[in-house]
Amino acid sequence: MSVVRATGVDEVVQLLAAHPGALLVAGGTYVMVDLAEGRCDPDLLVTLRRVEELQGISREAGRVRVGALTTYAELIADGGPLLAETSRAVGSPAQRGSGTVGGGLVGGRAGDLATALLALDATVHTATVDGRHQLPMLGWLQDARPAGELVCAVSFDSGAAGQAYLKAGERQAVISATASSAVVIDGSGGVRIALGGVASTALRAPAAEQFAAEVLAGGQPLEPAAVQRVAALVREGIGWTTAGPRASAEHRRHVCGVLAGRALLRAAGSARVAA
Amino acid sequence: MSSEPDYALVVDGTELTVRGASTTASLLDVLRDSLGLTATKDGCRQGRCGSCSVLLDGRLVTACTVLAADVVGEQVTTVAGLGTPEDPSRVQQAFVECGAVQCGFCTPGMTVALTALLEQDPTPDEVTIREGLCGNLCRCTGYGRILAAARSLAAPREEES
Repeated sequence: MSVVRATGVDEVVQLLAAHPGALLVAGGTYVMVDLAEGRCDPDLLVTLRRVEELQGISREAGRVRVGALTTYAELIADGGPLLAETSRAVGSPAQRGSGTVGGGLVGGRAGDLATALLALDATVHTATVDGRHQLPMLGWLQDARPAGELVCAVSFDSGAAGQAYLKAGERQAVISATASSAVVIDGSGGVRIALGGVASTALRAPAAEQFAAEVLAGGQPLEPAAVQRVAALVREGIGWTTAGPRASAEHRRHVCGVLAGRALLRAAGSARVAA
Repeated sequence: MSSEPDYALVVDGTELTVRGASTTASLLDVLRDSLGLTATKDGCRQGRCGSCSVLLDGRLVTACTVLAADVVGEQVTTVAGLGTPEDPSRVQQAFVECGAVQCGFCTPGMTVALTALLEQDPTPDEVTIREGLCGNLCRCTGYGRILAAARSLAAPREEES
């Protein structure tokens, strides 16, 4: 097994194409654990920390572009309100300083970052030997990923009026979500509700989104009955649900609905404060 | 298993040569097995217990999740680099004074994590302290004395030492 410390995107995709068994390493919080536990046996490790193109957060013309090497800690500092709030819910301080957007997306398709980026209607920027590609977050999550794909960056509009991220788990910190929800209210009153932890990928909740947008369009504060309705629409709209010994599918759906309702309330509150 | 050619790591201010380490060795493996620096402990190898916490160019990391070959040339600070028995750091001294050490296994990682926290926020409140140490597990103390040590350091100092 050898290690290449790559310095460019082209180098990375060519290595991935030439070595189908290669693994990418950024922060190492997934790969190093898998290696230690014997869950993988790559012939090549390609490290990404020196690929400058994957670094940094930039803003232009109302869009935010976040490089795949951006850590959760950097998102807390400069990722904007939703990604900052989401990143605070991820892991421990050490894990937040090492874990990256690219690793978080690839390693957690129902995880905190995927859920928040779905609510942001983010675009995923990738590279393969065939060139550069852009696709919507939902498509990136739902389609099988091609071999040799490198996630380079994500981008999204910065003009949200209100946003919130809530996560529930078996304890306070360093947990995968039993359920989570990210809510974004955009500048024109549209609502996006994303659900994490409950399925194999993050999900949207279209029925709940439509109902929430109609209620908010009236301009009144959200009544408890409306919040309950949102929770019910979310709960009923989740199809296949992950289940485990301490979190049944029914429990996950229930908690997810509750979190979505609360996140909507918070997002609406933050929208009113900002207005 | 293939080996890297020899390479240099700067650990606690000293440049050391790593010889014959596996290409996929973690920083923890290199510190303990290649360099014989056993102050940093091996608890879980999953990046979850925090007993292998070190600073990498000042940034808190778990050494077991760091690929050693990827941090050539970076500055590693272990608990041994924070202070000595003759000249302990404020954090080390507070752990001693507050009785925050029982078996001592979590102590190196806890000390490094608390050092990193205070570097970032010299006056953390209770929630910030608990969040800052949430990646460090202790099986002995129930965290009471460790949190007391952290609080004692967060209070404004009345006199310079």
